[in-house]
Amino acid sequence: MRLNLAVVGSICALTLASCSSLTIEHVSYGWPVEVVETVNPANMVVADRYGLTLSLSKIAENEFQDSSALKGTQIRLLRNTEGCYFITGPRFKNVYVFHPDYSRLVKESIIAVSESGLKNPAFNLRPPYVELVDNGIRKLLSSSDIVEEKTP
Amino acid sequence: MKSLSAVVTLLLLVAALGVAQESDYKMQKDFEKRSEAIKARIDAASTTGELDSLRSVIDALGLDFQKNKAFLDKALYPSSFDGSIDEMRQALHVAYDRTTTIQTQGFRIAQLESTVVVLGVRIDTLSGERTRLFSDLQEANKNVTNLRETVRRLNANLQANDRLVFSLIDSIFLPYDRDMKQTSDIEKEHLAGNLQRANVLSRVYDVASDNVRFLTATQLQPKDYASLVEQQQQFHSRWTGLSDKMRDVAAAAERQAAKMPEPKRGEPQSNARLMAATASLRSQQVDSVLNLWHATLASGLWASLEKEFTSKQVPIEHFTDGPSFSAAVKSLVARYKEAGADPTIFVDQVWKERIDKEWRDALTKESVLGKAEYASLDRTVSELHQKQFSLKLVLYILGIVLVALVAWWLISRRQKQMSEMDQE
Repeated sequence: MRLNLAVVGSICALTLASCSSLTIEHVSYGWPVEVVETVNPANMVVADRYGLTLSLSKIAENEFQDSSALKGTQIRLLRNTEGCYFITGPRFKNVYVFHPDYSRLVKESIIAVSESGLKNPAFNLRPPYVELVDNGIRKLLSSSDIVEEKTP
Repeated sequence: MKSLSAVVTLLLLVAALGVAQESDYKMQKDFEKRSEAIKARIDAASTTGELDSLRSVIDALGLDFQKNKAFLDKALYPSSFDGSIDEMRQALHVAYDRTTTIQTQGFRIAQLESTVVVLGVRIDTLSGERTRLFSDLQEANKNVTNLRETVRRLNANLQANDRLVFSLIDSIFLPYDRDMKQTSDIEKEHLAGNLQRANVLSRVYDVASDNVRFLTATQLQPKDYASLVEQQQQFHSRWTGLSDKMRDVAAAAERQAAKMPEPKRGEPQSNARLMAATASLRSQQVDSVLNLWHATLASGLWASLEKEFTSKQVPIEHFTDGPSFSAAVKSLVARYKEAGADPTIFVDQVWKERIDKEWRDALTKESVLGKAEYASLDRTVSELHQKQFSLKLVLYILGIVLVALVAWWLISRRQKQMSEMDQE
Protein backbone atom coordinates (compact mmCIF):
# COMPACT_ATOMS: atom_id res chain seq x y z
CA MET A 1 0.00 0.00 0.00
CA ARG A 2 2.77 2.39 0.96
CA LEU A 3 4.67 1.39 -2.14
CA ASN A 4 1.64 2.14 -4.31
CA LEU A 5 1.20 5.58 -2.73
CA ALA A 6 4.87 6.32 -3.26
CA VAL A 7 4.66 5.40 -6.99
CA VAL A 8 1.49 7.52 -7.58
CA GLY A 9 3.00 10.43 -5.65
CA SER A 10 6.20 10.26 -7.71
CA ILE A 11 4.25 10.27 -11.02
CA CYS A 12 2.17 13.31 -9.92
CA ALA A 13 5.28 15.17 -8.80
CA LEU A 14 7.02 14.48 -12.13
CA THR A 15 3.96 15.61 -14.14
CA LEU A 16 3.63 18.88 -12.19
CA ALA A 17 7.34 19.53 -12.53
CA SER A 18 7.24 19.09 -16.31
CA CYS A 19 4.21 21.45 -16.57
CA SER A 20 5.83 24.24 -14.58
CA SER A 21 8.97 24.13 -16.73
CA LEU A 22 7.06 24.72 -20.05
CA THR A 23 8.61 28.01 -21.15
CA ILE A 24 8.88 29.58 -24.62
CA GLU A 25 12.15 31.37 -25.14
CA HIS A 26 13.20 34.28 -27.46
CA VAL A 27 9.79 35.92 -27.71
CA SER A 28 9.87 39.40 -29.27
CA TYR A 29 7.16 41.78 -28.07
CA GLY A 30 8.43 44.87 -29.90
CA TRP A 31 5.97 47.23 -31.55
CA PRO A 32 7.29 48.47 -34.92
CA VAL A 33 6.15 52.01 -34.19
CA GLU A 34 5.18 53.96 -31.10
CA VAL A 35 1.59 54.78 -30.22
CA VAL A 36 0.81 58.48 -29.94
CA GLU A 37 -2.51 59.03 -28.18
CA THR A 38 -4.33 61.80 -26.35
CA VAL A 39 -5.28 61.11 -22.75
CA ASN A 40 -9.07 61.12 -22.56
CA PRO A 41 -11.17 62.89 -19.89
CA ALA A 42 -11.25 59.63 -17.88
CA ASN A 43 -7.42 59.85 -17.72
CA MET A 44 -7.16 56.78 -19.92
CA VAL A 45 -5.19 55.98 -23.04
CA VAL A 46 -6.41 53.44 -25.59
CA ALA A 47 -4.04 51.87 -28.11
CA ASP A 48 -6.59 50.38 -30.54
CA ARG A 49 -4.08 48.58 -32.72
CA TYR A 50 -2.73 46.57 -29.76
CA GLY A 51 -5.93 46.32 -27.71
CA LEU A 52 -4.27 48.08 -24.77
CA THR A 53 -6.07 50.38 -22.32
CA LEU A 54 -4.38 51.95 -19.28
CA SER A 55 -4.83 54.77 -16.79
CA LEU A 56 -2.27 57.60 -16.68
CA SER A 57 -3.30 59.03 -13.30
CA LYS A 58 -0.47 57.45 -11.31
CA ILE A 59 2.17 58.56 -13.81
CA ALA A 60 0.69 62.10 -13.77
CA GLU A 61 0.72 62.06 -9.99
CA ASN A 62 4.34 60.96 -9.95
CA GLU A 63 5.54 63.32 -12.72
CA PHE A 64 3.48 66.45 -12.04
CA GLN A 65 2.06 65.81 -8.56
CA ASP A 66 -1.38 66.09 -10.10
CA SER A 67 -3.27 62.96 -11.14
CA SER A 68 -5.29 64.85 -13.79
CA ALA A 69 -2.36 66.82 -15.25
CA LEU A 70 -2.17 64.66 -18.37
CA LYS A 71 -5.83 64.92 -19.46
CA GLY A 72 -6.04 66.15 -23.04
CA THR A 73 -2.27 65.89 -23.62
CA GLN A 74 -0.51 63.54 -25.99
CA ILE A 75 1.62 60.76 -24.56
CA ARG A 76 3.91 58.34 -26.37
CA LEU A 77 3.98 54.67 -25.70
CA LEU A 78 6.23 51.93 -27.09
CA ARG A 79 6.81 48.31 -26.16
CA ASN A 80 10.35 47.00 -26.52
CA THR A 81 11.30 43.52 -27.66
CA GLU A 82 11.49 42.28 -24.04
CA GLY A 83 7.86 43.30 -23.49
CA CYS A 84 8.39 46.39 -21.32
CA TYR A 85 6.23 49.47 -21.98
CA PHE A 86 8.03 52.83 -22.30
CA ILE A 87 5.87 55.87 -21.57
CA THR A 88 6.70 59.56 -21.81
CA GLY A 89 5.40 62.83 -23.20
CA PRO A 90 6.11 66.56 -23.54
CA ARG A 91 7.27 68.24 -20.26
CA PHE A 92 8.19 64.82 -18.84
CA LYS A 93 11.54 64.65 -17.09
CA ASN A 94 11.46 60.86 -17.02
CA VAL A 95 10.69 57.86 -19.13
CA TYR A 96 8.49 55.35 -17.29
CA VAL A 97 9.22 51.67 -17.92
CA PHE A 98 6.73 48.99 -16.89
CA HIS A 99 6.53 45.28 -17.33
CA PRO A 100 3.13 43.61 -17.63
CA ASP A 101 1.55 41.49 -14.92
CA TYR A 102 -1.95 40.08 -14.44
CA SER A 103 -4.24 43.09 -15.26
CA ARG A 104 -1.61 45.59 -14.22
CA LEU A 105 1.67 47.21 -15.19
CA VAL A 106 4.46 47.02 -12.69
CA LYS A 107 7.23 49.61 -12.54
CA GLU A 108 10.46 48.32 -14.03
CA SER A 109 12.32 51.61 -13.79
CA ILE A 110 11.97 55.35 -14.05
CA ILE A 111 14.72 56.74 -16.25
CA ALA A 112 15.59 60.42 -15.81
CA VAL A 113 16.13 61.82 -19.30
CA SER A 114 15.80 65.61 -19.04
CA GLU A 115 16.28 68.06 -16.21
CA SER A 116 14.16 70.76 -17.86
CA GLY A 117 11.55 68.42 -19.29
CA LEU A 118 11.22 66.95 -22.79
CA LYS A 119 10.04 69.26 -25.60
CA ASN A 120 8.84 67.02 -28.41
CA PRO A 121 9.80 63.44 -27.56
CA ALA A 122 9.41 60.36 -29.78
CA PHE A 123 10.27 56.67 -29.36
CA ASN A 124 11.81 54.48 -32.04
CA LEU A 125 12.28 50.75 -31.67
CA ARG A 126 15.96 49.92 -32.12
CA PRO A 127 16.16 46.30 -30.90
CA PRO A 128 17.20 45.41 -28.31
CA TYR A 129 16.85 49.07 -27.19
CA VAL A 130 14.40 51.90 -27.46
CA GLU A 131 15.56 55.18 -28.93
CA LEU A 132 14.29 58.41 -27.41
CA VAL A 133 14.49 61.41 -29.76
CA ASP A 134 13.87 64.96 -28.57
CA ASN A 135 14.86 68.06 -30.54
CA GLY A 136 18.02 66.48 -31.91
CA ILE A 137 18.99 64.71 -28.67
CA ARG A 138 19.06 60.94 -29.00
CA LYS A 139 19.28 58.47 -26.18
CA LEU A 140 19.32 54.68 -26.39
CA LEU A 141 17.39 53.20 -23.51
CA SER A 142 17.38 49.73 -22.07
CA SER A 143 14.55 48.75 -19.76
CA SER A 144 16.51 50.09 -16.81
CA ASP A 145 18.88 52.84 -17.94
CA ILE A 146 20.37 55.08 -20.64
CA VAL A 147 22.78 53.02 -22.69
CA GLU A 148 24.03 55.69 -25.07
CA GLU A 149 23.44 59.42 -25.49
CA LYS A 150 24.15 61.76 -28.38
CA THR A 151 23.58 65.48 -28.52
CA PRO A 152 23.57 67.52 -31.76
CA MET B 1 31.13 36.47 -26.68
CA LYS B 2 27.84 37.95 -25.51
CA SER B 3 29.52 41.19 -24.57
CA LEU B 4 31.22 41.34 -27.98
CA SER B 5 27.93 41.00 -29.82
CA ALA B 6 26.36 43.65 -27.59
CA VAL B 7 29.18 46.04 -28.45
CA VAL B 8 28.76 45.36 -32.18
CA THR B 9 25.00 45.97 -31.92
CA LEU B 10 25.65 49.16 -30.02
CA LEU B 11 28.14 50.38 -32.64
CA LEU B 12 25.67 49.64 -35.43
CA LEU B 13 22.94 51.51 -33.58
CA VAL B 14 25.18 54.48 -32.98
CA ALA B 15 25.96 54.53 -36.71
CA ALA B 16 22.25 54.34 -37.42
CA LEU B 17 21.66 57.36 -35.20
CA GLY B 18 23.55 59.49 -37.66
CA VAL B 19 21.33 58.28 -40.53
CA ALA B 20 17.97 58.40 -38.82
CA GLN B 21 16.89 62.01 -38.64
CA GLU B 22 13.36 61.69 -37.27
CA SER B 23 10.98 59.50 -35.33
CA ASP B 24 9.58 56.37 -36.96
CA TYR B 25 6.09 57.53 -36.05
CA LYS B 26 6.64 60.82 -37.91
CA MET B 27 7.97 58.94 -40.92
CA GLN B 28 4.88 56.69 -40.97
CA LYS B 29 2.60 59.71 -40.66
CA ASP B 30 4.50 61.52 -43.43
CA PHE B 31 4.10 58.55 -45.71
CA GLU B 32 0.38 58.28 -44.88
CA LYS B 33 -0.12 62.03 -45.30
CA ARG B 34 1.58 62.09 -48.70
CA SER B 35 -0.37 58.99 -49.78
CA GLU B 36 -3.68 60.56 -48.77
CA ALA B 37 -2.77 63.79 -50.57
CA ILE B 38 -1.98 61.83 -53.74
CA LYS B 39 -5.26 59.90 -53.48
CA ALA B 40 -7.18 63.16 -53.03
CA ARG B 41 -5.45 64.62 -56.10
CA ILE B 42 -6.28 61.45 -58.07
CA ASP B 43 -9.94 61.77 -57.09
CA ALA B 44 -10.01 65.45 -58.02
CA ALA B 45 -8.10 65.07 -61.31
CA SER B 46 -10.19 65.96 -64.34
CA THR B 47 -7.62 65.60 -67.12
CA THR B 48 -5.28 62.83 -68.18
CA GLY B 49 -2.44 65.38 -68.03
CA GLU B 50 -2.93 65.81 -64.27
CA LEU B 51 -2.98 62.03 -63.84
CA ASP B 52 0.22 61.65 -65.87
CA SER B 53 1.97 64.06 -63.49
CA LEU B 54 0.58 62.14 -60.49
CA ARG B 55 2.14 58.96 -61.84
CA SER B 56 5.58 60.49 -61.34
CA VAL B 57 4.56 61.79 -57.88
CA ILE B 58 3.71 58.21 -56.84
CA ASP B 59 7.04 57.00 -58.24
CA ALA B 60 8.83 59.71 -56.24
CA LEU B 61 6.98 58.71 -53.05
CA GLY B 62 8.02 55.09 -53.61
CA LEU B 63 11.65 56.09 -54.10
CA ASP B 64 11.67 58.44 -51.08
CA PHE B 65 10.47 55.73 -48.71
CA GLN B 66 12.08 52.70 -50.35
CA LYS B 67 14.85 52.72 -47.73
CA ASN B 68 12.19 52.50 -44.98
CA LYS B 69 10.28 49.69 -46.68
CA ALA B 70 11.03 47.12 -43.94
CA PHE B 71 9.78 49.48 -41.24
CA LEU B 72 6.71 50.61 -43.20
CA ASP B 73 5.74 47.02 -43.99
CA LYS B 74 5.28 46.51 -40.24
CA ALA B 75 3.99 49.96 -39.34
CA LEU B 76 1.34 50.03 -42.07
CA TYR B 77 -0.09 46.61 -41.12
CA PRO B 78 -2.55 45.23 -42.32
CA SER B 79 -1.37 47.01 -45.47
CA SER B 80 2.26 47.21 -46.51
CA PHE B 81 4.59 49.61 -48.29
CA ASP B 82 4.21 47.88 -51.67
CA GLY B 83 0.48 47.40 -51.03
CA SER B 84 0.00 51.13 -50.41
CA ILE B 85 1.94 52.09 -53.54
CA ASP B 86 0.01 49.51 -55.60
CA GLU B 87 -3.27 50.84 -54.19
CA MET B 88 -2.35 54.35 -55.41
CA ARG B 89 -1.32 53.03 -58.84
CA GLN B 90 -4.61 51.10 -59.06
CA ALA B 91 -6.60 54.24 -58.10
CA LEU B 92 -4.63 56.15 -60.75
CA HIS B 93 -5.45 53.50 -63.35
CA VAL B 94 -9.18 53.61 -62.52
CA ALA B 95 -9.16 57.41 -62.55
CA TYR B 96 -7.31 57.37 -65.88
CA ASP B 97 -9.99 55.16 -67.44
CA ARG B 98 -12.75 57.30 -65.96
CA THR B 99 -11.19 60.58 -67.10
CA THR B 100 -10.49 59.25 -70.59
CA THR B 101 -14.11 58.14 -70.85
CA ILE B 102 -15.39 61.51 -69.61
CA GLN B 103 -13.11 63.42 -71.99
CA THR B 104 -14.15 61.23 -74.93
CA GLN B 105 -17.82 61.42 -73.97
CA GLY B 106 -17.57 65.19 -73.53
CA PHE B 107 -16.21 65.48 -77.06
CA ARG B 108 -18.93 63.13 -78.33
CA ILE B 109 -21.66 65.12 -76.53
CA ALA B 110 -20.34 68.35 -78.07
CA GLN B 111 -20.35 66.66 -81.49
CA LEU B 112 -23.88 65.34 -81.02
CA GLU B 113 -25.15 68.69 -79.78
CA SER B 114 -23.89 70.33 -82.97
CA THR B 115 -25.57 67.49 -84.92
CA VAL B 116 -28.82 68.28 -83.10
CA VAL B 117 -28.57 71.93 -84.18
CA VAL B 118 -27.91 70.93 -87.82
CA LEU B 119 -30.80 68.45 -87.78
CA GLY B 120 -33.09 71.09 -86.28
CA VAL B 121 -32.28 73.47 -89.15
CA ARG B 122 -32.85 70.73 -91.73
CA ILE B 123 -36.21 69.83 -90.19
CA ASP B 124 -37.26 73.49 -90.23
CA THR B 125 -36.27 73.70 -93.92
CA LEU B 126 -38.31 70.59 -94.65
CA SER B 127 -41.27 72.07 -92.78
CA GLY B 128 -41.19 75.14 -95.03
CA GLU B 129 -41.05 72.96 -98.12
CA ARG B 130 -43.93 70.85 -96.78
CA THR B 131 -46.16 73.90 -96.30
CA ARG B 132 -45.55 74.81 -99.94
CA LEU B 133 -46.30 71.24 -101.06
CA PHE B 134 -49.63 71.25 -99.22
CA SER B 135 -50.68 74.37 -101.11
CA ASP B 136 -49.43 72.76 -104.35
CA LEU B 137 -51.61 69.77 -103.54
CA GLN B 138 -54.75 71.89 -103.54
CA GLU B 139 -53.80 73.31 -106.94
CA ALA B 140 -52.76 69.95 -108.36
CA ASN B 141 -56.12 68.36 -107.58
CA LYS B 142 -57.21 69.70 -110.96
CA ASN B 143 -54.60 67.73 -112.87
CA VAL B 144 -54.12 64.01 -112.21
CA THR B 145 -50.48 63.84 -113.31
CA ASN B 146 -49.49 66.84 -111.23
CA LEU B 147 -51.45 65.43 -108.32
CA ARG B 148 -49.53 62.16 -108.35
CA GLU B 149 -46.21 63.96 -108.52
CA THR B 150 -47.14 66.31 -105.67
CA VAL B 151 -48.38 63.42 -103.55
CA ARG B 152 -45.13 61.54 -104.17
CA ARG B 153 -42.99 64.56 -103.23
CA LEU B 154 -45.08 65.35 -100.18
CA ASN B 155 -44.93 61.76 -98.98
CA ALA B 156 -41.13 61.72 -99.48
CA ASN B 157 -40.91 64.98 -97.55
CA LEU B 158 -42.94 63.55 -94.66
CA GLN B 159 -40.80 60.42 -94.54
CA ALA B 160 -37.58 62.48 -94.57
CA ASN B 161 -38.98 64.65 -91.80
CA ASP B 162 -39.91 61.55 -89.78
CA ARG B 163 -36.36 60.14 -90.18
CA LEU B 164 -34.75 63.45 -89.28
CA VAL B 165 -36.84 63.94 -86.15
CA PHE B 166 -35.89 60.52 -84.83
CA SER B 167 -32.22 61.06 -85.82
CA LEU B 168 -32.36 64.23 -83.77
CA ILE B 169 -33.88 62.36 -80.82
CA ASP B 170 -31.29 59.56 -81.12
CA SER B 171 -28.53 62.19 -81.13
CA ILE B 172 -29.87 63.63 -77.89
CA PHE B 173 -30.16 60.25 -76.14
CA LEU B 174 -27.00 58.65 -77.60
CA PRO B 175 -24.49 59.83 -74.96
CA TYR B 176 -26.59 58.28 -72.21
CA ASP B 177 -27.26 54.75 -71.10
CA ARG B 178 -29.49 52.79 -73.52
CA ASP B 179 -32.19 51.92 -70.97
CA MET B 180 -31.43 54.97 -68.76
CA LYS B 181 -30.86 52.76 -65.68
CA GLN B 182 -27.37 54.10 -65.11
CA THR B 183 -28.33 57.71 -65.82
CA SER B 184 -28.50 59.97 -62.76
CA ASP B 185 -31.37 62.38 -62.04
CA ILE B 186 -29.10 65.36 -62.72
CA GLU B 187 -28.16 63.92 -66.13
CA LYS B 188 -31.83 63.24 -66.84
CA GLU B 189 -32.69 66.82 -65.94
CA HIS B 190 -29.98 67.98 -68.36
CA LEU B 191 -31.45 65.63 -70.95
CA ALA B 192 -34.92 67.07 -70.33
CA GLY B 193 -33.46 70.54 -70.97
CA ASN B 194 -31.90 69.35 -74.26
CA LEU B 195 -35.18 67.76 -75.36
CA GLN B 196 -37.03 70.97 -74.57
CA ARG B 197 -34.43 73.15 -76.36
CA ALA B 198 -34.59 70.91 -79.46
CA ASN B 199 -38.39 71.20 -79.32
CA VAL B 200 -38.62 67.42 -79.62
CA LEU B 201 -42.21 66.84 -78.53
CA SER B 202 -43.53 69.61 -80.80
CA ARG B 203 -41.58 68.15 -83.72
CA VAL B 204 -42.93 64.65 -83.09
CA TYR B 205 -46.45 66.08 -82.77
CA ASP B 206 -45.98 68.00 -86.07
CA VAL B 207 -44.84 64.86 -87.91
CA ALA B 208 -47.91 62.94 -86.77
CA SER B 209 -50.38 65.77 -87.44
CA ASP B 210 -48.84 66.50 -90.89
CA ASN B 211 -49.38 62.85 -91.76
CA VAL B 212 -53.03 63.10 -90.72
CA ARG B 213 -53.35 66.26 -92.79
CA PHE B 214 -51.73 64.50 -95.76
CA LEU B 215 -54.13 61.54 -95.50
CA THR B 216 -57.22 63.75 -95.36
CA ALA B 217 -56.05 66.10 -98.14
CA THR B 218 -55.38 63.58 -100.87
CA GLN B 219 -56.80 60.59 -102.74
CA LEU B 220 -54.36 57.74 -102.41
CA GLN B 221 -53.70 54.89 -104.79
CA PRO B 222 -53.89 51.31 -103.44
CA LYS B 223 -50.12 50.85 -103.70
CA ASP B 224 -49.52 53.99 -101.60
CA TYR B 225 -51.03 52.32 -98.56
CA ALA B 226 -48.28 49.71 -98.10
CA SER B 227 -45.57 52.32 -97.48
CA LEU B 228 -47.93 54.52 -95.45
CA VAL B 229 -48.86 51.63 -93.15
CA GLU B 230 -45.18 50.74 -92.78
CA GLN B 231 -44.31 54.36 -91.96
CA GLN B 232 -47.11 54.67 -89.42
CA GLN B 233 -46.11 51.41 -87.72
CA GLN B 234 -42.43 52.42 -87.52
CA PHE B 235 -43.36 55.81 -86.13
CA HIS B 236 -45.66 54.20 -83.57
CA SER B 237 -43.02 51.76 -82.29
CA ARG B 238 -40.35 54.50 -82.15
CA TRP B 239 -42.69 56.77 -80.24
CA THR B 240 -43.55 53.94 -77.80
CA GLY B 241 -39.83 53.50 -77.04
CA LEU B 242 -39.28 57.24 -76.83
CA SER B 243 -42.31 57.99 -74.66
CA ASP B 244 -41.06 55.53 -71.99
CA LYS B 245 -37.76 57.40 -71.87
CA MET B 246 -39.54 60.76 -71.93
CA ARG B 247 -41.68 59.70 -68.97
CA ASP B 248 -38.52 58.65 -67.12
CA VAL B 249 -36.84 61.97 -67.90
CA ALA B 250 -39.98 63.95 -66.97
CA ALA B 251 -40.22 62.04 -63.67
CA ALA B 252 -36.56 62.91 -62.94
CA ALA B 253 -37.27 66.58 -63.75
CA GLU B 254 -40.25 66.45 -61.38
CA ARG B 255 -38.09 64.91 -58.63
CA GLN B 256 -35.52 67.67 -59.13
CA ALA B 257 -38.35 70.23 -59.02
CA ALA B 258 -39.67 68.69 -55.80
CA LYS B 259 -36.30 69.37 -54.15
CA MET B 260 -36.81 73.07 -54.81
CA PRO B 261 -39.10 75.13 -52.55
CA GLU B 262 -42.75 75.37 -53.64
CA PRO B 263 -43.34 78.76 -55.36
CA LYS B 264 -45.51 81.15 -53.42
CA ARG B 265 -48.81 82.36 -54.82
CA GLY B 266 -48.19 84.76 -57.69
CA GLU B 267 -44.57 83.62 -58.19
CA PRO B 268 -43.72 81.88 -61.48
CA GLN B 269 -43.15 78.10 -61.32
CA SER B 270 -39.60 76.77 -61.45
CA ASN B 271 -38.20 75.86 -64.86
CA ALA B 272 -37.90 72.14 -64.00
CA ARG B 273 -41.49 71.97 -62.72
CA LEU B 274 -42.79 73.80 -65.79
CA MET B 275 -40.71 71.58 -68.06
CA ALA B 276 -42.12 68.39 -66.48
CA ALA B 277 -45.72 69.64 -66.74
CA THR B 278 -45.29 70.72 -70.39
CA ALA B 279 -43.63 67.43 -71.32
CA SER B 280 -46.47 65.43 -69.78
CA LEU B 281 -49.15 67.45 -71.62
CA ARG B 282 -47.27 67.32 -74.94
CA SER B 283 -46.82 63.54 -74.63
CA GLN B 284 -50.57 63.10 -74.22
CA GLN B 285 -51.16 65.26 -77.30
CA VAL B 286 -48.71 63.14 -79.34
CA ASP B 287 -50.49 59.94 -78.19
CA SER B 288 -53.81 61.42 -79.25
CA VAL B 289 -52.67 62.57 -82.72
CA LEU B 290 -50.92 59.23 -83.26
CA ASN B 291 -54.21 57.42 -82.61
CA LEU B 292 -55.90 59.79 -85.06
CA TRP B 293 -53.20 59.06 -87.68
CA HIS B 294 -53.76 55.31 -87.28
CA ALA B 295 -57.58 55.67 -87.43
CA THR B 296 -57.48 57.96 -90.51
CA LEU B 297 -55.13 55.66 -92.37
CA ALA B 298 -57.15 52.56 -91.48
CA SER B 299 -60.53 54.08 -92.42
CA GLY B 300 -59.09 55.35 -95.74
CA LEU B 301 -57.61 51.96 -96.55
CA TRP B 302 -60.75 49.89 -95.82
CA ALA B 303 -63.09 52.39 -97.51
CA SER B 304 -60.94 52.43 -100.68
CA LEU B 305 -60.77 48.64 -100.63
CA GLU B 306 -64.54 48.35 -100.28
CA LYS B 307 -64.95 50.62 -103.31
CA GLU B 308 -63.06 48.03 -105.39
CA PHE B 309 -65.98 45.63 -104.79
CA THR B 310 -68.90 48.03 -104.90
CA SER B 311 -67.69 49.72 -108.12
CA LYS B 312 -68.04 46.30 -109.87
CA GLN B 313 -71.38 45.59 -108.18
CA VAL B 314 -69.95 42.69 -106.22
CA PRO B 315 -72.30 42.37 -103.24
CA ILE B 316 -69.79 42.27 -100.36
CA GLU B 317 -70.79 43.05 -96.78
CA HIS B 318 -69.48 46.29 -95.22
CA PHE B 319 -66.07 45.95 -93.48
CA THR B 320 -63.95 48.32 -91.42
CA ASP B 321 -60.88 46.27 -90.42
CA GLY B 322 -58.93 43.08 -91.11
CA PRO B 323 -61.22 40.59 -89.32
CA SER B 324 -64.42 42.06 -90.78
CA PHE B 325 -62.83 42.07 -94.28
CA SER B 326 -61.91 38.37 -93.92
CA ALA B 327 -65.40 37.55 -92.72
CA ALA B 328 -66.98 39.53 -95.60
CA VAL B 329 -64.86 37.75 -98.27
CA LYS B 330 -65.58 34.30 -96.79
CA SER B 331 -69.27 35.09 -96.61
CA LEU B 332 -69.23 36.26 -100.23
CA VAL B 333 -67.54 33.06 -101.40
CA ALA B 334 -70.07 30.98 -99.44
CA ARG B 335 -72.95 32.84 -101.06
CA TYR B 336 -71.50 32.31 -104.55
CA LYS B 337 -71.20 28.59 -103.83
CA GLU B 338 -74.70 28.32 -102.44
CA ALA B 339 -76.33 30.25 -105.27
CA GLY B 340 -74.13 28.68 -107.97
CA ALA B 341 -73.85 32.17 -109.44
CA ASP B 342 -71.11 33.15 -111.87
CA PRO B 343 -68.19 34.53 -109.79
CA THR B 344 -66.11 35.66 -112.76
CA ILE B 345 -66.40 39.37 -112.03
CA PHE B 346 -65.53 38.87 -108.36
CA VAL B 347 -62.69 36.42 -108.95
CA ASP B 348 -61.14 37.74 -112.12
CA GLN B 349 -61.90 41.45 -112.21
CA VAL B 350 -61.91 42.29 -108.53
CA TRP B 351 -59.74 39.77 -106.71
CA LYS B 352 -57.12 38.92 -109.34
CA GLU B 353 -56.96 42.23 -111.18
CA ARG B 354 -57.30 44.64 -108.26
CA ILE B 355 -56.88 43.03 -104.86
CA ASP B 356 -54.02 40.68 -105.66
CA LYS B 357 -52.18 43.10 -107.95
CA GLU B 358 -52.76 46.43 -106.22
CA TRP B 359 -53.63 45.75 -102.59
CA ARG B 360 -51.62 42.67 -101.66
CA ASP B 361 -48.57 44.63 -100.35
CA ALA B 362 -50.75 46.64 -97.97
CA LEU B 363 -53.01 43.76 -96.93
CA THR B 364 -50.12 41.40 -96.12
CA LYS B 365 -48.78 43.83 -93.47
CA GLU B 366 -49.23 42.22 -90.10
CA SER B 367 -51.04 45.27 -88.71
CA VAL B 368 -53.58 45.14 -91.58
CA LEU B 369 -54.45 41.52 -92.39
CA GLY B 370 -51.21 39.53 -92.25
CA LYS B 371 -49.57 37.18 -94.76
CA ALA B 372 -51.21 34.01 -93.42
CA GLU B 373 -54.74 35.42 -93.45
CA TYR B 374 -54.28 36.89 -96.93
CA ALA B 375 -53.00 33.53 -98.25
CA SER B 376 -56.00 31.79 -96.67
CA LEU B 377 -58.44 34.23 -98.34
CA ASP B 378 -56.63 33.89 -101.67
CA ARG B 379 -56.98 30.08 -101.45
CA THR B 380 -60.68 30.36 -100.62
CA VAL B 381 -61.33 32.63 -103.59
CA SER B 382 -59.18 30.50 -105.93
CA GLU B 383 -61.15 27.37 -104.97
CA LEU B 384 -64.32 29.11 -106.11
CA HIS B 385 -62.71 29.81 -109.45
CA GLN B 386 -61.31 26.27 -109.79
CA LYS B 387 -64.77 24.78 -109.17
CA GLN B 388 -66.20 26.87 -111.99
CA PHE B 389 -63.32 25.90 -114.21
CA SER B 390 -63.82 22.15 -113.51
CA LEU B 391 -67.54 22.24 -114.46
CA LYS B 392 -66.75 23.85 -117.79
CA LEU B 393 -64.08 21.27 -118.45
CA VAL B 394 -66.46 18.40 -117.74
CA LEU B 395 -69.06 19.87 -120.12
CA TYR B 396 -66.37 20.37 -122.75
CA ILE B 397 -65.18 16.76 -122.42
CA LEU B 398 -68.77 15.49 -122.53
CA GLY B 399 -69.31 17.51 -125.72
CA ILE B 400 -66.22 16.02 -127.33
CA VAL B 401 -67.27 12.49 -126.31
CA LEU B 402 -70.76 13.10 -127.74
CA VAL B 403 -69.33 14.36 -131.03
CA ALA B 404 -66.96 11.37 -131.15
CA LEU B 405 -69.85 8.96 -130.54
CA VAL B 406 -71.96 10.54 -133.28
CA ALA B 407 -69.01 10.42 -135.67
CA TRP B 408 -68.32 6.78 -134.79
CA TRP B 409 -72.03 5.92 -135.27
CA LEU B 410 -72.08 7.66 -138.66
CA ILE B 411 -68.86 5.97 -139.80
CA SER B 412 -69.93 2.52 -138.62
CA ARG B 413 -73.33 2.98 -140.32
CA ARG B 414 -71.63 4.00 -143.54
CA GLN B 415 -69.34 0.96 -143.37
CA LYS B 416 -72.33 -1.28 -142.74
CA GLN B 417 -74.17 0.18 -145.73
CA MET B 418 -71.10 -0.29 -147.93
CA SER B 419 -70.67 -3.95 -146.87
CA GLU B 420 -74.37 -4.61 -147.62
CA MET B 421 -73.95 -3.05 -151.04
CA ASP B 422 -70.87 -5.22 -151.68
CA GLN B 423 -72.87 -8.38 -150.76
CA GLU B 424 -75.65 -7.37 -153.10
